Amino acid sequence: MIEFKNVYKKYENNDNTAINDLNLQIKDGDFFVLVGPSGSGKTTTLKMINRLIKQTSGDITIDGKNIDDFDIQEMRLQMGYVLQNIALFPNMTIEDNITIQPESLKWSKEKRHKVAWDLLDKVGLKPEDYAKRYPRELSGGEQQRVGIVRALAADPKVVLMDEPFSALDPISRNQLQELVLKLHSEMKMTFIFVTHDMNEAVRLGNTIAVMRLGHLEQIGTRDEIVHNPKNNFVNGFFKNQQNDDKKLKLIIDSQDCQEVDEQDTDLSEEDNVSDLASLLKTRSFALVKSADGRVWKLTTQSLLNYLARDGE
Amino acid sequence: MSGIVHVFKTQGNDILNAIGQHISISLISLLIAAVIAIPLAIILMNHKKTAEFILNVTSVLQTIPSLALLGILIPLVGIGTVPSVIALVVYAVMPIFQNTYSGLTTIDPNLEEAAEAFGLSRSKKLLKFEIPLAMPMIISGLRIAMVMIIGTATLAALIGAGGLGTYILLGIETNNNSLLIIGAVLSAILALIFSGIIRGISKLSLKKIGVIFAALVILIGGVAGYRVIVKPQTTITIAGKMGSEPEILINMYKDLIEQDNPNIKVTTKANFGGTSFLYKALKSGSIDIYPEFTGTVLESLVKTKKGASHDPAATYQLAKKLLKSQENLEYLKPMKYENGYALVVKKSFAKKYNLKTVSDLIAIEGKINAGFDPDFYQLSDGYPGISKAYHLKFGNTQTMESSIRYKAIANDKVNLVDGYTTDPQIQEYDLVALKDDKEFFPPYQGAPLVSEELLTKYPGIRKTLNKLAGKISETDMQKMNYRVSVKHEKAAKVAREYLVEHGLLNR
Repeated sequence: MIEFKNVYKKYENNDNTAINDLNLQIKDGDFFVLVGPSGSGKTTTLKMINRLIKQTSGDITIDGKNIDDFDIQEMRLQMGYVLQNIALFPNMTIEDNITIQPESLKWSKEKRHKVAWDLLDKVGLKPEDYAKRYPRELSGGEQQRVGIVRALAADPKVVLMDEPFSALDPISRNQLQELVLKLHSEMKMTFIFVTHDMNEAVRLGNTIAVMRLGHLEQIGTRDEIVHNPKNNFVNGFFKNQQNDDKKLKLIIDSQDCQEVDEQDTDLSEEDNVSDLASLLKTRSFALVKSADGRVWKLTTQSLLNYLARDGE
Repeated sequence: MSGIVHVFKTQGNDILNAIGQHISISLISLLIAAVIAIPLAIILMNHKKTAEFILNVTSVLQTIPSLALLGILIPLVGIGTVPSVIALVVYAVMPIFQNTYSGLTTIDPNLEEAAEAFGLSRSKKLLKFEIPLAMPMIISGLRIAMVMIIGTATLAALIGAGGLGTYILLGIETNNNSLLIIGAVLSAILALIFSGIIRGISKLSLKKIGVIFAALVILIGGVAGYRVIVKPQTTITIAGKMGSEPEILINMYKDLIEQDNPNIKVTTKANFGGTSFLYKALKSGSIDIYPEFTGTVLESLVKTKKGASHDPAATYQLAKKLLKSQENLEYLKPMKYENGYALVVKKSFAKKYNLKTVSDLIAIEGKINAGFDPDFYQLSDGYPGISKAYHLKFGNTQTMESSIRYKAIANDKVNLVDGYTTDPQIQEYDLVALKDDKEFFPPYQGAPLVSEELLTKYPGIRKTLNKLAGKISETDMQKMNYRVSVKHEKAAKVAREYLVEHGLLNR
């Protein structure tokens, strides 16, 4: 369990307190999402866990032991980390990137190789095709899959993810959200995930902590946050994003599309209309999965019809 | 072009030697500079202020003119390879340091954050991505440094370290374009080759680069160590200025000393740089003997209020006295010839008008069409002075670059030029130097300048070198200079033949 007790953070060149009396607990095995607008302190909170940022006061403990009492390198070697900018080492192959922590942990060559190949396989990148390639040869979505694999390779107890999907296109984002859910259920690790997107938070998190201006506004299960928003901010933040982000479900519900017999889908009905629009810039249709597992073909015409109705 | 081919034919081995010296000086310097600069940049990559300070220091070092730096180093570390390498290292540190530092500090901060978060150690970070990502910058720093080193290493010749600079300096000194071109072109080619090799190395893995680096260090260290071990015990070092004449003389000194002292080994360093370098080297004990002109001693080596005398014997005595009292150096007896200014005409011209001395020119002064070096034309020691002393006024005078004077007289463009009494061109173009019968030109007699210490240790050397006193006439010297600098015969051979011929050497 990771616990924050009365944690404050104040940056030297800034009068505002970045984190103000933060108290929270993250249970082992949880999928814990920190969500909030920019400047809310969610990334600062994440980075204090692996001591990339040092708190000004208060204690952070892991299983009751203060993080300051750990050997910093040993502690970090036990944590996975996924960056928004992916940050694969451009001079190293995919396999070498993945096994960078295992190598520091002095795992045998065979064990490292096996882990890299197993994990690549698990995230849908054929190891025989990808292991020896270099990051620049991969698309953004593929690179972030490798980024996730790299964070999991040393079999850490905790994986920290700092807005890992915000720079990706909607299709990749959707696929990777599914992927992390799958990985979380299979691997029994604690995932701590930072995002500014309430939909992403609701989709992924078992526990969601909503932050604003360095304060914890509300912490609770997904249902508690969705159904019992503690105050106007949480409610508004959630509502605003829902209103802003119009769901593809609306188009499917209007029946202005055809059902098709396909398995490979591009989007889900929970995705936004804007996601569909950006996809249709280069293509004439997209395949969207609805909650009941049926697949729908949405064309440019479906989008225009929807927008016309919406404007009425 | 044929001149270049001729030089290659006659001096092929010497040129190869010079290339070897050039390469070894350059490589040693580059390695030392890299060993200093790269680790320093790595240590300072997270200390911005200190790094900027160091960068400023190395930039300041860069601005010291190389000649000044060599001048400073001679009294401290002597002559030869050591000061050359130190000077080259001083220049090479900055580009390597700067490039390594900026290569390491411009790495994507996200990568640094990732590595930090993964708990990588400092050394792991360096080896895994920092050095590999900075490598292109480091390599370009090394290439800049290498090209600079190979270019600047030509100056090593000035302080007796040899290398291709010998040919460049000799070419400049003796107006021999073939030598100049050989030296310059070969060093340019070396620079290109090494720049290419470094680029090739940059494509190898970090491990292979390390192996190559270690191999080079061991190789060079081994060679240096071997040299130290096998170095002969007693050696006397004799150096000489640029050009054939000093080289012939120091070979004579060597032969004579080795004949009288079979257990002393003499090393010669020919084509050493300018007067001040030799003088400093002698005073600091890096060399033991070098031939110097009496006129030069009074002009630039000792402090004297008196103007130069025009009497050779008086000039020598004054020079000897002042060297002894001011610097505790011994100036042994001078040879016969004088290598001062002279007025030179074609032999046929001299015969036609029965010219032997400068005074003889007065009768035909209106017929003279003179070509003078610009300095000679202006200096009070030159044309204005002699014109006054002899009441001469030539019909026509023009100034021309010193290098083309002799060509001009050979082609009858002019019929009188200024020159030095022992110039080989006098022989080459069938010219004659007119006797300065009023002793107007300051005397320039050559004599061995020796450190006091050497004579205390080997008192016999005084007698040995004084065997040359009063020997070697101007014609002798002209002929020998001609054989060495125009015909490219070996100075050692020419010197030995003279000594044997005149009964100074038994062989």
